[in-house]
Amino acid sequence: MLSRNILLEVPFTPDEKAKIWEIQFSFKVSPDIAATGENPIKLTLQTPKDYEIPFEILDAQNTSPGYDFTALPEEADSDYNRVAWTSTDSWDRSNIYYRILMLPKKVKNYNYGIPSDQDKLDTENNLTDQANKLKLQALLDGFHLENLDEKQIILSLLQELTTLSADQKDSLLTDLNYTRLVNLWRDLINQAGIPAFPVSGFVLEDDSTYNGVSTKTAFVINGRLNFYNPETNLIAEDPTFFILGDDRDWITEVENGSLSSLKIAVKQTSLPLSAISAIKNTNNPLAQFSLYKLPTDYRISVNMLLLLPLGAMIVVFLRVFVGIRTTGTFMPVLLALSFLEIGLLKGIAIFLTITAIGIIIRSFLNKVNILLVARIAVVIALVILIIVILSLITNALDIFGFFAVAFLPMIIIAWTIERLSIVLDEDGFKEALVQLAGSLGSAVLIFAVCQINIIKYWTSYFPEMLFMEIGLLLLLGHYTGYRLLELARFSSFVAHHKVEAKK
Amino acid sequence: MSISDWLNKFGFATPAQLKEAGIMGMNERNISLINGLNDRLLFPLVDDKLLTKRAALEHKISVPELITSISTQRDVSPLLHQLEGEEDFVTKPAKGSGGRGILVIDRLDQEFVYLSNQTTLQRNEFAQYLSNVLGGLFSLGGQPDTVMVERKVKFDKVLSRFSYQGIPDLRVIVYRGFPVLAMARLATKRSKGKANLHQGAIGVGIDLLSGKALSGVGKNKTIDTHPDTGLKIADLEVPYWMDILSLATSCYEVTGLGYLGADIVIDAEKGPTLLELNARPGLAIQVANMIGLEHRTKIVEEIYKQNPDAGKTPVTERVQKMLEKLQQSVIAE
Repeated sequence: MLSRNILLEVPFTPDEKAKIWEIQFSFKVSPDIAATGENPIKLTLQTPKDYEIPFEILDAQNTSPGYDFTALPEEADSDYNRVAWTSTDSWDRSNIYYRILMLPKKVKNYNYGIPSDQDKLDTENNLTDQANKLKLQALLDGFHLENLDEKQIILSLLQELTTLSADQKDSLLTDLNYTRLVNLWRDLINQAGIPAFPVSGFVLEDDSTYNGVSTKTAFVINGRLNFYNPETNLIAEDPTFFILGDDRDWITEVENGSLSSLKIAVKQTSLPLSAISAIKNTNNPLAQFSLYKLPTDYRISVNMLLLLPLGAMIVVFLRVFVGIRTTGTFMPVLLALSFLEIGLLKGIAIFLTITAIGIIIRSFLNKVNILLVARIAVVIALVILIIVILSLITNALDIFGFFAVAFLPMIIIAWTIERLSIVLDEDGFKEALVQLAGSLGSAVLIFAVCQINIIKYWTSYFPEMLFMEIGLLLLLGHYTGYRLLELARFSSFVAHHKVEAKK
Repeated sequence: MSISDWLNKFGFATPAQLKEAGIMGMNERNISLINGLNDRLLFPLVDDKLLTKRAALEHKISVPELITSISTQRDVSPLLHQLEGEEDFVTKPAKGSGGRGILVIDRLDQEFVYLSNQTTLQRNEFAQYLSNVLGGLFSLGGQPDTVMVERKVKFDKVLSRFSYQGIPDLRVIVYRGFPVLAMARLATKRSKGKANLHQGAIGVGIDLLSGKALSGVGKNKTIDTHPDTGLKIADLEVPYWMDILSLATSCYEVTGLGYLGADIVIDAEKGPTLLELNARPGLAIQVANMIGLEHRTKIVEEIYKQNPDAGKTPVTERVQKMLEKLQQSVIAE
């Protein structure tokens, strides 16, 4: 446990949490008619390199049935990585899902988004209309930009352009061979010696979805990436804009098909640091055995399983130290598990109702002359019937809310009825009541213990707890002292001895 | 007020007080006596009353006469025919425990079964009962069982008049071959004629030296007079006491169990008769005697300290030795 805490940084308390970004891309691809086995449909997505961005990519999960997923080899001179999905089945229209989990880095990389390729920083290369360089310079000279800093230049250029009348704009665009004013603005900035280029990405905002990427103009000022914010009319850095690439057309590419939709969902979640360290330490062999590596749904049942020995330990404690009698040794553990699944109050209500009905049925069955094993089986069948009828009634009348039929809890309850009715037959009503109360009480206690956050957390993140439990059980098993209830049972001895002493 | 006074006020003893009284707790019993002294291999011999009966007969111990036994469902109706001629018999599950599933029957005819407690069962109800016994209703863990049909014990009048509706039996605890504690169990109206303490019967501690009643207990309360028969518990004196002690003690050889309870009844004709043996006898006998079991096991340990082979000496010698030691401890007090 200690090594897991130290080496893998799994904390001992569950409340140390970190905010991580969850980004899910979902693509829909339509294949061309030409897409065949020899010309498979292929989608590639460009993603930033881990060291480039101010985030640490914890995990990238791919769920895309029917597609082969590959990470394309890294190119040293590129700022980006590419992943690809290919499918030879031209009819496959299933969605491609790609999920990235990333954690904000403690030490920010301020070069984020700035191309490492010096050519791209050369303003000359960013000009789309090289032929018009002179015309652009003439235009620039017409504006009074002397004694202005870079941000002011960009803003005043924007102002000059936007204050032009519609006719002036049209003539300017035609004259300089531009289609959009924003491109002219960008080239003017480049001509003024400030690197400016388009970048594509999306805004990291919790619970937002985007239909595709958006493109912004980025400026390099003092070695940092800056953007124009139309709302504040300011030039500033924007850490919320997540850049996927500098060329929109390169972010996603489809061969032998076309991208019919791209959705980007952004969600911020709080994960315990422990979970993060489990995802992170993929190279540490100890982490390979972390339960976090298991599929999510299976992990839920494993966590349940890990609580079982703890419940059994509580039963042992109650029997050995207190002396509580229960229906079947470990029945309370199973009952507690079913309460965990259906909720405590609802669980107890359902349990008592079904048990009462079950025992009444069982007493009627006693009058029928059939073999014992057959009778037990009949009770189980009838209990299941009651459960089904009850769920139909509650559903129709909407009393309890819907009486959800969970598989395991129902089996457990059905079995308890059988045990209880045997006790009822053999030891009478009072003993059955004592055992029922004992079982229910122990189950509630186990339930309560399993509800404690730190206990749940410890059992699921430190499976080594099992060894501690075994050790503790071995100790409990050696206890030869009196049980709490025996102190009351044999208390008459004390009175007896006091009387004797007086004599 | 000390903690112990405070606990006593609320009906609790302190562990130290119980230790001083020599009380054996359940955990101690399970670990030291049952796990420590009783080999699990030997359990089937006592858990199956048919096997116990055979083993007892081999050791010339008196047991109720076995009329017949069945172990399959198809034997049920032939058995009913066979029993039509019989009178005064008992049907019981061979692997039953705590006196459960025992019927004491006067006779049966084509329609009814007449029980000794003056009630009747319909013949088909009786057949269902037999099939339930075979199905394991009364056996440990519900294993398939055998129905035993035994001759009914003709209870000795001296003891049976203390009990409501018959079956007064004696339980003697034998520890490593030496008798240590004894009690008589008297049925009451509440226990429905059964001699089981947790079903409401009265436990009466019996002095090992004299066979006389020490004190009576019912549901953890001291009892002086039997609630149904009105007889004074203190007047109870067990006849054939030395024979009973010897019989119980000899069960050590029969079973090899270091901690056992012998359930003995007194037959008017045959004298002391072994009804059944128990490899996990309960602890209520301490309350009935107001004597802690550990006080007695300590005496046996002393005997073994003096003679490590004490367990191999003849039965009568062992009984004498134990009584001698008890006499000494009484005088010492």
